[in-house]
Parts: sequence; C-alpha cells; structure tokens
Amino acid sequence: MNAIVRARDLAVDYTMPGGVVRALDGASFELLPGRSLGLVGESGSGKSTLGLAIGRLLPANVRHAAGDLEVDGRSVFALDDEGIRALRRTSLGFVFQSPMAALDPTMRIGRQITLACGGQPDVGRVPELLQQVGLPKGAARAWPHELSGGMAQRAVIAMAIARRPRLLVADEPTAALDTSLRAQILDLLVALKNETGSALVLLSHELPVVARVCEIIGVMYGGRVVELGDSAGVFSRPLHPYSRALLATAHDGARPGERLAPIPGMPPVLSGPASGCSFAPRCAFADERCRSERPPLRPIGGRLAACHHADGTAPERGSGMSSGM
Amino acid sequence: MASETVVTLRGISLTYATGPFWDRHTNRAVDGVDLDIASGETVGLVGESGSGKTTLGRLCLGLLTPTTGEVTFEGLVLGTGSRLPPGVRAVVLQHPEWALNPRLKIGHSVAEPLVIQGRKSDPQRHARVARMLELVGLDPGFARRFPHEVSGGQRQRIAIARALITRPRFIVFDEAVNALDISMRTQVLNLIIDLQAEHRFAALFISHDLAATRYVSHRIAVMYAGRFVEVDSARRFHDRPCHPYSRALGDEEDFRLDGVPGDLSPEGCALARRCPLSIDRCHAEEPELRLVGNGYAACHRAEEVARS
Amino acid sequence: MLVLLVLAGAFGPFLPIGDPLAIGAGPRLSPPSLALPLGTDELGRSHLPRLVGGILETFLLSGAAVLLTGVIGISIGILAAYLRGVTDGLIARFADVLFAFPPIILGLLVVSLAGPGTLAVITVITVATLPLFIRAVRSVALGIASREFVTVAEVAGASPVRIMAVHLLPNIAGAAIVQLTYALSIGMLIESGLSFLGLGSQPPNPSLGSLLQLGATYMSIAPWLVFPAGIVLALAILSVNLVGDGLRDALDPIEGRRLT
Ligand SMILES: Nc1ncnc2c1ncn2[C@@H]1O[C@H](COP(=O)(O)OP(=O)(O)OP(=O)(O)O)[C@@H](O)[C@H]1O
Ligand SMILES: Nc1ncnc2c1ncn2[C@@H]1O[C@H](COP(=O)(O)OP(=O)(O)OP(=O)(O)O)[C@@H](O)[C@H]1O
Ligand code: SF4
Ligand SMILES: [Mg+2]
Ligand SMILES: [Mg+2]
Repeated sequence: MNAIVRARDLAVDYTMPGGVVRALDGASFELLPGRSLGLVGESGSGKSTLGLAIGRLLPANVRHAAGDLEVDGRSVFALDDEGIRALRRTSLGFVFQSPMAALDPTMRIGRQITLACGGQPDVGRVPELLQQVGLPKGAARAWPHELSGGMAQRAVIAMAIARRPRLLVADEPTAALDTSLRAQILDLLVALKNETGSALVLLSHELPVVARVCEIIGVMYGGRVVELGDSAGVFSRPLHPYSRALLATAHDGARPGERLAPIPGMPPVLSGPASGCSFAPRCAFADERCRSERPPLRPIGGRLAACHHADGTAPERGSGMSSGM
Repeated sequence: MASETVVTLRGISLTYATGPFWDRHTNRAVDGVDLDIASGETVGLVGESGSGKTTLGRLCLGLLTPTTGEVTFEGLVLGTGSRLPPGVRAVVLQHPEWALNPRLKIGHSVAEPLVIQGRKSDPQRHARVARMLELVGLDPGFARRFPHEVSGGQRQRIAIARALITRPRFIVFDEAVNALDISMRTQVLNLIIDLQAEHRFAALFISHDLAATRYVSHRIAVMYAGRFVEVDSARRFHDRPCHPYSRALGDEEDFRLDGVPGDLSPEGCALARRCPLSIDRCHAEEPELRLVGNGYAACHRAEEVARS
Repeated sequence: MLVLLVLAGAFGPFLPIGDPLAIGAGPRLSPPSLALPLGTDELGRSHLPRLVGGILETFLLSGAAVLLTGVIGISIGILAAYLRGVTDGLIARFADVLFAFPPIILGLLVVSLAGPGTLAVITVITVATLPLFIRAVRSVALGIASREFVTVAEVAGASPVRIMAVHLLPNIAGAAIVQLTYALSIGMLIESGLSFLGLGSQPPNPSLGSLLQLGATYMSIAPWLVFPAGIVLALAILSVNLVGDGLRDALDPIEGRRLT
C-alpha cells in the first residue's frame, strides 16, 4: 500500500528581517492510509510547522529548504494552486492549534459548520456533528465569542470532520479540554478513523495522550523526528534519550509537596542545519561524536531512532532516566 | 507570616444574556460564589469545559461586573470607579494566539507592564525582559521577534513572562500552561512557585489539568455549572476528593459521568442527571456547600464518597 | 499612473506649458495645435496648463478633505470601539444618519449656508465620506478591542489613551489607510460634481469639475475641451482605487496563512 503522507528529510525555514529560523531540520516519517500517527515533542520542536506543511498552509515567510513531503504520492510543493486546493477539499481535514483564530467571529457556529460540510449538508447533519463533539444543540445558534475555550475547540473539530477527510491533521485538539471531554474527543477521532478508514496525524505535547490513541508515535526534537515506532513500544521502552526524559517528567505521580524537575537546559533555536545531534547539550549520554556528527534516523529494534547511542552503547549515566516514570 | 486577604468574592453571580431582546436566552455562568484568596496563596480552579472558570477569573479582575455580589481587592470594592495603581494585577488569558499585540515585538509586549508603571527609562528594563524570557525557557533573542513568528507554546510562555514581570500582587492564570509539554510545564510551574515564595502574590490558577493544578495550588475549588461543588486543601484533595464530580474529573472509573456538560438538572443537585451516585434526594433537594471533613463539599453523599 | 498624475499636478505650475490664468494665449476656442497642445478655452486661455492646474486643485481639495475625514474618523471609530455600550451605539446611529444624506443635497445645503468655494467643498467631502469611514474603522477596531492583549493591558493598569494609541491604532492603521484611498476617490468625484455645478472652486481657478462643465457647454463647437478633463478624472479615480487595492494586499494581516 502507498503511504498517504510521507516526509523525506524535510527542512523548512522561516525567514524574518532579523534572521532565519530553521523550524524543520530534516524530518522524516510516513503513514499508511487508515493508520494513526501521533507526533509529540516539546514546545517549538516543529510540530505545527510539519502539520501545516501537509496542507501547504504555511505562512508567507516560509522557505522550503530541502527534502520533500508527499500526500497521496504527490509532492505538495510541486502541486499548482488549484491542485493543492483540490487536495485540501477532497482529502484533508485540519484542526488548527488556535481554535478561536479558526472561527469566523461574524458567523454563528451552526452556519460555519454548515459551510464546512460543503454548503448543503443533509438535514440533521449539523446537530449530529455537534452531538458527536459533545456540544449541546443550542450551540449552533451561538456566536464564537459566546463559547468557552473548550467549546470553541470542539466546534472547530466538528468543522474539520464534517467532510469525512481521508487524512485528518489535528494540532493539539485536546489542549483546552478536561479529561472526560478529552477522552471523548480522542475516542471520536479514533472512531472516525475506524469507520471511514481515514488516516490521522495527531500533534500533541502529551505523550500519554498520544500513546493511548495512536498506533504509531513519532517523537520530535529540534525539527526532526528522533524516534518513530509503534506506540506501545515507544511508550514503554523509549530508545532516544529525549523520549526517555520526556517520559520521566510526569506530574501524575507527584506527591503533594514534592518538587519535580524539568529536563535541564533550553530547547535549541536553529538557524541552519544542526551540525550534530541537537539534543546533545541537554543529553546525559552525549559525547564528542554526538556534538559533531548528525545521527541518522536508523532502524533499531524494530523501530527508528536518531541517536548514536540508542542501541545501548552509551555509558549508562543518569540512570534515573532509563525508563518510563 | 501573616497572610492578609487580597481578593474577596461575596455572593458573586453572573448571568449572560444572549440573542435579540425578543428572543433572550440567559445563561447563569457563575452562581453564588464566595472565595477569599490570601497573599502568598494559589487557589486552583478546576471544572469541566463551560463550567464558568474563565468567567469567574474575569470577575476577580473586575473585567466583568457581577449581576449580584461584590468583588473586593485589598479592601477596595471593584467597579466603583476607584482605580488601582498599575502593575498590581496581571493575567494570562486562555487563548495564546490573541494574547499578544501583533504589531509589537515580543520584547515590547513583555516590557509593557513596566512601561505602564512609568518605568520606561529604567536602564534595567531590557535586562529584566531578557531574564524573564530565560526563566520561561526562551532564548532572549525572542525579544526581537513578532508574535506571529513564534509557536503556540512559546506565545503562551511570553504571556506568562509578561504577567510576572511587575511582581504583581494578584495574578490570574487561565489555562496558562495547557500548550506546554510536560517538561516546560514543570519549569514554568516551578517558576510560579518560586516567585510566589519570594514575592507572596495571590494567584488564581484555572486549569482542567488536575495534576498541574494540584502541583501549584494550596487550595483547590471545583466548579460545576457556575457553582463550587468542592473546596479543599490541595493536599487533601489529592488524597481523597469527597465530591463525585471531583472524582470524575480525576478520571476514576467508578465515578464516570453520563451525558454532556450542559445537561443540567432543573431541580435538586445540578449534577443529579449525570452522577452515577444520584439518589432520589439528589433530584429533589439542592445540596449546600457544607463542611465535610476539613474541606467543603456540596453533595448529599459526600461522606460516603470520602470514605470510598 | 497615479504618480504621473500627481507629479503633473504638483509640478504643473513649473512646467514650460504656459500660465493657466493668462488670457489670450491664443485665439478663443482654438483646436489643439503644436503650440497649444489641447487648444484654448472660451477666453483664449491655454487648456493644457488649465487641465494640469485642475488636477492639482482637485487632488488638493479632496486630499485635504479626506485627511480631515481620516483624523476625525479614526478618532471617533477607535473611541466607539473602546468605550462600547451607549457611546458606541450613538456614534453608529449618527454615522447612519449622515450616511442617509445624498452628497449633492448636502452640498447645496452647505453652500447655501457658507457660500460656494474651497471651504464648502472640503466640508461636503468630509461629511460625505465620514460615515462610511467611521463604520469601517469602528468594525475593525471592535474586532481588535475584543482581543485578549487589550484586556491584559487593561488589567496591568494601562490608561485608555495608551490602549487606544498603542494597541488599537497600529492594528487598525492598515485597514484605515485602505479605506482612506477609497474615500479619496469618492472625494474627487464629489469635488468634480460640485465644481461642475459651480458650487466648488470658483473661477478663474480651474478644477477638473469646472473644466468638465466648461467642456460640456462648448461640446458642440469645441469638443476637444471636454475629453481631456473627463479622461483624466476617470484615470485618477481608477488609479486611486488601484492603489487602494494594492495597499490592502500589502497590509494584509501579517498572520494570514498562504491559502493558495
Ligand atoms: N460573552 C459571553 N456571552 C454569552 N455566554 C457566554 C459568554 N462567555 C461565556 N459564556 C458562557 O458561559 C459559560 C461559562 O463559560 P466560561 O468561559 O466561563 O467556561 P470555562 O469554565 O472557562 O470553560 P473552558 O474550560 O472551556 O474554558 C459557557 O456556557 C459559555 O457558553
Ligand atoms: N512564522 C514564523 N516565523 C518565524 N519563526 C517561526 C514562525 N512560526 C514558527 N516559528 C518558529 O519555528 C519553530 C517551530 O515552530 P512550531 O510552531 O512548528 O512549533 P510547535 O512544535 O508546534 O510548538 P508548540 O507546541 O509550542 O506549538 C519555533 O521555534 C518557532 O519559534
Ligand atoms: S448530590 Fe447526588 S447527584 Fe449530586 S453529586 Fe452528590 S451524589 Fe451526585
Ligand atoms: Mg504548535
Ligand atoms: Mg475558559
């Protein structure tokens, strides 16, 4: 089967008057139709950039620096404007990270969902969508500013799934939701995937959430996918030191009064291709090679990881980080 | 240390009216809330989406005028025309994408509260902005970027840096860390805890994330349909919440709620239709917020819940 | 194109094409020739310098008026959006009422009160373009005022002036400038209209409107008089609108996604 979306060493820069920021620095992954991929990574690691690139929805100051991104076997950067519009219309659904920005403040929610359905949905389709995302029927009459944050988020999800896209890209769809609603929305996304055979790319900073609903997990760091594999494996036995550190910092286990420690150091700000592993300055296993040589994304134990020491050759320092929680 | 009360809410209600005058819909978003927040104290506010948390936060800041009741800030009744000195209050609002003025560089946005305080020519201004950015995990070079040139989580941290820069007396954090990954979230929460220990500000921490709320808060108030259903110390709340709704928020299997959040019961406990423990009394008689153990809960069966 | 017209208008007086007011530069109503490229008018004044002068007059008058519109409109629009409530409602209704007056009637009214002339023209253009402009500014400013950064500044204790100047004004400036170029084209039309009716700039000063009127009078015997002014007016309005569209694209919200 052909991948519905495939990125190969994708590098994307943002140009600003003050300089260049490399947001994606050789990201690679692929996803088969009907499967679900969760991309996790810390703030600024390039998740939204990657998600937007799938629909070529990036802002104007972006520069496609290297590599390629294919949807349905066609490079999105090679399509003409009509081609990309057709692709978005027929195959893609997006839930953007900022729900309020995705809603038109001058239009009632019901009308916006109607438009998202393509203009003339069957009677009952709009209430059905509202119910699916857990909004009361009355929400159709509401203006965007009358909704609470979580309600707006759900309205946006209803719009994204309205056309039953073949590939749904959801950027932090549950960040504004409480646990019960989050479970409900995630279940909805999975049910939709199973019913219609659509593929799902879920971008999130919460590894546990992603691990619960997605079959595959990609861990992002510094604009790259540094670990890619089936979610149970990544969650229970992470290979990349960053994935391990991510799992080691969980709140839920914290006792009152206990102080938690974040991953030490600052996330990288790249302006060009990283010369070595961009996690090296914060990594307990880093050595000279990590700082000078880019680790390729290579198969290790049925998974892909971009780390020189992922196969356990590292001197086992920082033993507290060795496994999940 | 003597901790005086900074913010006091007494009998606060707020009703939103929507729709044209011939087709008015009213929505009681906050209903009879009493709350004191002392200096050096963080009150965590949790509840489902739409339960009225943001509305209550705005009421605390005097951004909304309560339909009934009174908000007092350090002895001053809000909304009576009296102006507070600049920089004593700050807020981080829920939507990071709208939190920053798109025409101002990040450095200007973060420094704005200082400028408002009249410290425009403070030679330390730039240093303080850079320091604050670093504390929230951002390279000081971000000061030169515009808001549309940063990611969602970065924007949220910039908003937090701006809120903390004047060392205010009271801060409202409305879903202030929900776009941050767990490591970054820990860093920011630690920052809030440390700055609070140093400057003893009062804070209202609104979030749906129970773990994060428990981590930063001293007391926790649980909200449903505009009312407090449980108020307790964070420590006890962590061990055993005594309202079924709190248990449901904690994702406990036995307390899973039915239906959607807006499905309010017309009589008795607002939760009666959704609560797995509801009995006939719940549908008939409204539970008061009363002392249960050492905390407060509004549930007829709170004692049983506390024991389970 | 606009640049050309503006340049022509601005430097016209210094160009070696003759004095617009000199009577008897040639025979009366003579057709275009090499010496007098656009011919002469009923008093034997050379038409080309008069046309160039007319451009200047029209631009100056409508420009001044639109500037006035801009200052008043931006202040009122921002104020309405900031204060909300009753003030906002009153301002919106006021704009509606003004909007309901046809400019020409308004012109007659003003002229009957103040007499014809420059002042009358400026007043009429301002009053006529103001309501549309206020509406546009107000609706944009309302959107901005509901953004959270405004609330944050309010909580931090920012004064109303600061909020309006630092947070509202820069964010509506783009939209306002674009609206102003549209107002300018409307202003030019009104100016010409009033002058055509003899209510605007007074002889002997030329303006595009009075030149048109003159041309229309002598249409049958001196058709060369009417066309240049008409064409220039049409071109001027067209190019002002084009500039407006260009500005709109250039000043598009910076966050706009590339949706093509
Ligand atoms: N401006 C408004 N006009 C009318 N109704 C409103 C307005 N703002 C909020 N509401 C309603 O008030 C209720 C409470 O909203 P609020 O924003 O306080 O919820 P919340 O607890 O913050 O939820 P979330 O976690 O989703 O942000 C909701 O039912 C919402 O629809
Ligand atoms: N328009 C832009 N101009 C310049 N830099 C940008 C722009 N958008 C994003 N960036 C930068 O690119 C990097 C990646 O951003 P991206 O939005 O993809 O991160 P993210 O992983 O989605 O983070 P978050 O979890 O915080 O949303 C960040 O460092 C950010 O500052
Ligand atoms: S009072 Fe009854 S219905 Fe309400 S929460 Fe308690 S048990 Fe449930
Ligand atoms: Mg993002
Ligand atoms: Mg809220």
